[in-house]
Amino acid sequence: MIQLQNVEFGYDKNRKLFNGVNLQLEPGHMYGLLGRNGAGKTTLLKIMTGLLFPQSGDAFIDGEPAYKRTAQQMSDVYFLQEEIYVPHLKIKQFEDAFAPFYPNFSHEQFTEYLREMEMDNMLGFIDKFSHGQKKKVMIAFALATNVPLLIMDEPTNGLDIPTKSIFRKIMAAYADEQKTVLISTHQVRDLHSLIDAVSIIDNGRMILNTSGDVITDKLVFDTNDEKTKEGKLYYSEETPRGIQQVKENVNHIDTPLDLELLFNAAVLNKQEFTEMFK
Amino acid sequence: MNINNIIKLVKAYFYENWRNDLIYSFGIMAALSLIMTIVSGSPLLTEIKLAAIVFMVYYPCRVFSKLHQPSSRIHYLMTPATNAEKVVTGMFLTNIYFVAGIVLSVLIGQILGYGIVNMYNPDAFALYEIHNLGEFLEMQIPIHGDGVLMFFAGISIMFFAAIYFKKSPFWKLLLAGFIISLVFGAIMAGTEWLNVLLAVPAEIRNGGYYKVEHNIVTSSNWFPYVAYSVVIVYFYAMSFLRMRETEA
Repeated sequence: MIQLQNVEFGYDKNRKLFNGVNLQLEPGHMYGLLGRNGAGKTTLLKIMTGLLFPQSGDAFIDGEPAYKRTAQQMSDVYFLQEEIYVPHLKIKQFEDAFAPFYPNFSHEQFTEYLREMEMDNMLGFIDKFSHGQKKKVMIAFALATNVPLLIMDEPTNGLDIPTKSIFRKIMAAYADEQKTVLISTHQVRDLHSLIDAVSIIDNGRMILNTSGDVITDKLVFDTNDEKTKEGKLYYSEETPRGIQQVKENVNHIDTPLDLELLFNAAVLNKQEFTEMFK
Repeated sequence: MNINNIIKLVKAYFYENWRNDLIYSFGIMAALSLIMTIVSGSPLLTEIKLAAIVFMVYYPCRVFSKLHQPSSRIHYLMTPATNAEKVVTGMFLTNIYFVAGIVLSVLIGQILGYGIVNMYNPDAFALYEIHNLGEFLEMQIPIHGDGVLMFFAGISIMFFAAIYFKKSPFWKLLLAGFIISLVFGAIMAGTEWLNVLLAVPAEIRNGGYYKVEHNIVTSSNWFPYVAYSVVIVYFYAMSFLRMRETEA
C-alpha cells in the first residue's frame, strides 16, 4: 500500500527533518502517527502521498513511486488535511463535483455520516460554516470515498466533545480488512481506543512502526501505588490515580495500550525501542 | 490520458466557478460592451476588445488559483487525475471555454447595444457603412492568423506562469506580461528584419514599395506562425513538466 524506503528530507539543505525513514503500511490497520510538534508528521504524510518529493530514498503508493501521482494512486488515497480547503459550494454540490473521482464513493454513507454528525440539514455554502462544521463535512466525505488508504491529519482538532465521540464511533465501524487508516495526531486520548498500530517519529527517525498487539506483547502499561520492580521500567509518571508506568512485559500480561505512555517511553528510550520493534 | 477524468475536472471547475465566471467575467464584459456601444455609437470598441484580451490572457491565473494557497493546492494535487489531464483541462478552460465566453459576451453586449441604438436612431452606424446586423457582426471579428496565434501564445505563457508561481502570481504575471511584450516585440522586429533581409530582393527593397507592388512569398507569411507555434508548444510542455514537479 504505502512504503517509505530510507527517506531523507529537509526544508533546509543543511538541516534534515528525516534521516533514513522507513515505513510500511499494511491493509486492515488503523495507524496512529505520533510525534512531537515540529517532528514532521504532516511532512511525512505529504511525502507518502507524493505531495512532497524526498531528497533521497523512495516513497511508493501501490508499488509505484508516489511522485507520479497517477489517477489510480490518487483515487486510492484520500488526504484529509488539518487546515482543510473548502470551496464555495453547498454540501450537495460538493458531492456532485468531487464524488465522481472516487469509484467506491457511497452517497448513502455520506448522508448517514452527515446525519450522525448533525450536518444533514445544513443548506448553506460550506465555506460559510464554522471550522468544526467544515471539518465534519470533510470527514464525512473522506469516509464515504471508501478509499483503500485514508490519511487524516489531526482530524479531531476543532471538533466539539460530542462530535469527537461520534467520530470515534464512526471510525470504529469504518475499519475493515481492506482499508488502511493513518491518523496523525497530538490528541492521543481522542483516538487511543481506535488505533491498532502505532508509528512514532522523533528526531528524523521512525522509532517504531508496529501493531498494538506486538507492543502489548512486549510492554506493560499499568497504574500502581508504587513502582514495580519486575521487568525493566521504561517510563513512569505520578498521577493522582497512582504511578502510571511502562515496563517490560516479563510475565506476558495483557494490558491495554496507552498511547500517551507509549509515546513518552519511546521518546525517552529511542535506541532500545528501535531495536525492540525492528 | 483518460477523457473521463478531464470531463470530471471540467465539471468540478464549473461547479466551483460558474457563478464567478458568469458575473465577474462574462457579465462585466457584456455590460461594458453594451454600455460602450450605446454611449459611443461605434461598432469598433477597441478599448473593450483590448480589455477582453487582457482579461483572457490573465485568466489562466484564475484557472490555477487553487495552486496559490497551500490547502487548496493539496486538494487540487490530490484530485484523482494525472498531471497531464489537469494541464489539458486547464488548456481547454483557458483557450476554449473562456475565450469563447468572453467573445460571446462582448458580442452579445454589442448586439444588444446595436439594437438599442438602432431602435432610436437607425442612421447611427451609417458612418461605418453598416446597415444591418450581418454587416455589424462582420465588422466585429477581423481575424488575422498571426494575431490570433500571438494571442494564444500569450495565453500559453501566462498558463505556465500561473502554474509556476506559488506566491503573488498577479504581480509576477504582470512582470511576465512585460517580458512577453519584449519577446513579441523582438519577434515582430525579427520578422521584419528577416522579411527585408532574406526574402525581398534588394532592388525591390530599395524601391520601398515591395509589399504593395509584388505578390511574392516573404518570410513574414510563415515566420510569425512558426515562432508563435514554437512558443505555444514550448510553454505548454513546460507547464506539464512544472505541474508534474509541483509540490504541496
